[in-house]
Amino acid sequence: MILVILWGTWVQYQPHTQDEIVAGEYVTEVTKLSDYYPGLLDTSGDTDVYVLEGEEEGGTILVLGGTHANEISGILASITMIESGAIEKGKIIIIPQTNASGISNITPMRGDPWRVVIENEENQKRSFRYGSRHTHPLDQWPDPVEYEHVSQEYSASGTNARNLNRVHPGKEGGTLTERISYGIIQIIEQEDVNLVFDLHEAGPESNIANFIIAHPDSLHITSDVSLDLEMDGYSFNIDQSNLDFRGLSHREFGELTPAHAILSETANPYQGSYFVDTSMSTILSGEDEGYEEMMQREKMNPNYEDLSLRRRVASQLKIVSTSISTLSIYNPENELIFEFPDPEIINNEGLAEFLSFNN
Amino acid sequence: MYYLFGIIAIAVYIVAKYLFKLSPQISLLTAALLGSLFAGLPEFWYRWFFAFGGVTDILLTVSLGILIVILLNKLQFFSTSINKINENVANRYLNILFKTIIFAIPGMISGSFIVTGMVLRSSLEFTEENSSFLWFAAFIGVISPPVNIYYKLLDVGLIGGYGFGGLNIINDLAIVAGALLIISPLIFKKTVIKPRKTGSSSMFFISGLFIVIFLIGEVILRRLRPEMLFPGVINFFLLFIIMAVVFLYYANNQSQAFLESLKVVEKDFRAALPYLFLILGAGFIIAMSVHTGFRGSLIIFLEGVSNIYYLVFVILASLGVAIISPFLSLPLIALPALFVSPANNHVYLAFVITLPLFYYIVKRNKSIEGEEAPICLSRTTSRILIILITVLVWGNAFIRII
Repeated sequence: MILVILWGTWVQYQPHTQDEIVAGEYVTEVTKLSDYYPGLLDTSGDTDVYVLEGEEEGGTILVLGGTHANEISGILASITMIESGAIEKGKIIIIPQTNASGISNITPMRGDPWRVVIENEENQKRSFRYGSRHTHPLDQWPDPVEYEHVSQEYSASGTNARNLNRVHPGKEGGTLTERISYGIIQIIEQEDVNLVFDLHEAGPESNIANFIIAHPDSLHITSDVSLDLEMDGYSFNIDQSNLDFRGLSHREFGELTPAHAILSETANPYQGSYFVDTSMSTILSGEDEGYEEMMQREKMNPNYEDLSLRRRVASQLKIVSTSISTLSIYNPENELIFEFPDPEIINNEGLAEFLSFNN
Repeated sequence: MYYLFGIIAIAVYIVAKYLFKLSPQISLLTAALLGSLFAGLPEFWYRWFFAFGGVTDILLTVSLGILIVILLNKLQFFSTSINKINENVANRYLNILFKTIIFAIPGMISGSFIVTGMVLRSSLEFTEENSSFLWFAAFIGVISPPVNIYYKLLDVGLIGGYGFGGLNIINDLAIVAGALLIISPLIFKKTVIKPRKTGSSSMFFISGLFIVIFLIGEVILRRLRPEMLFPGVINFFLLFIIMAVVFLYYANNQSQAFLESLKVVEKDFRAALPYLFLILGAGFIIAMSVHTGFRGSLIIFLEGVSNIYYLVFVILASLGVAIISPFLSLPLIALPALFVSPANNHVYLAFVITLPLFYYIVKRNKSIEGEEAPICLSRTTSRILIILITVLVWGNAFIRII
């Protein structure tokens, strides 16, 4: 009995484990979110922050992967940037697992796989946690009956209190999720970030799948980005923030900070409602009988040709790289020169080349 | 291929229950196991381990909820409340209203259908002619609670399927074991604190104190401090300890009487176990239907059917089946749970928890022959309620499907 109680208590207070990420040679600093906001120190919301700073001064961008820890393309795109990216000018700050608590969580009643495994040609494997949209309930509980945004202008169901992309800009001393958001705001302000990316995924049938959403002040960037992507064979629609819909990163960061704020949504079948295969292969290949059936019935618009993970990661990298180039045109003083993992190689051959397998 | 789980599970259930005469609990479990085994469940043992953890989380939390309400029953909270209302409220409508609140509050506070089940059990001992209304009030209290603590406990990731359920087993085991340790001196043959002698009215006070303790701990403190002092599960445990200590300290009359009442608690709890395991079996069926893709395939299949046919089918089928046998309508109530998104755990819980309740009602109804059933729900009433709840549950799913 005593052992059981002690064990249960020990489990309660264990820090959640994040995936190990190998900092590439261009990573100049690995720090913690708590270094920007000490209110996250020794909490499950503290997460690694990777800084890649070029020798030449330039613009500063922030890339957020894993705001929703089950939207894996953003996480993996961030990790490839950390492990294989090369910076020459400016600074890139990358948080691959932004909601570290969500990384350790699981979504009830979905049958999600525990991890996603990437394999290279030498049959070496690397696995990444497939988390949940919400902060872990062991870290933040109970949910309110109704969640009210810190602005008091928006309310939603109680579980949104643990949805990082509904609590922005967060609150000092608030719930764990609000403090994570607050920490991100501190990075933006302390580092004079010019451009913030929040990488997400949505179900293919969702009305925001394959969308780039930006604050109205940043639409000129996303308009150009969308056109450039279309010419390269990546079809993304654009939309602007609904200023009445509070809590979203693009809306709050764009409104409350000097930074441009962009959110991308790639289409992931595993995020949707129509998948039938609950194994990891649905996430990796993007192929699922359920979605094929729905496409044949023309229940989904548009019809997707490739929903594979490699395509989605490549799309995220294209969005970020194209946006940086576009920003550099509009604001030359914020130019940033960063060699991204080649999206075309990822699209055609997979992620393995840009991940480290020597952990 | 993804329909395979459903076909195998149904076939196995029928064979197990009607051919081999196994209990519904064992039949459900066997159906879930064999259905997932032969339907091609990916990462089979891994998913079963976490499904087990997730579903038994419910079981253990439910057990604790049941124990709490059994204690309330034994402390005569409900009967005392009803009697006091009868003594002091002459107006017929106010009388019913207050009684409704009494029966709805436990469900609201605990957020637990389990509590509703036990409230139902207590109401079954009444001879009130309007107890069926009270039953429904209790159910409504759980569906739309203003304060919903245990619902949140059940909702926030401790519900099964997959994931950290494995770890949560340990926590819940610790909690339930600790709670049983405190409230079951029978196990250790001695009480922790020597009980005092008090008047009978203190029992009502103590019951109310129990509710106040939970309200303070879970609602007011939470509003004052957004950060809990302890993780929620530990907080629940602490509150239960406080409650148990208070009970033990203010136990009525002789300690022997109190020990006797605890013996009945133990007996009641054992009587509730079959229904708890029914929850377990049903939970596994749902979990495995998700993991094997059966649920997804059903959603896709029904997407091709005009929505209006859902409602018509449900209403007619419910009416028809309920006339024949309320028990046979139970699977009909269960089906919507498969279609509801994981975020809408109301419906899932409605299915999982009301299933044993209906089973209990119907079983009690069937066990009485040639005399007026002691329970206050007539066959007609129970059928009507089943239809109403079926439409409620299906309507909810219907809205989300369209």
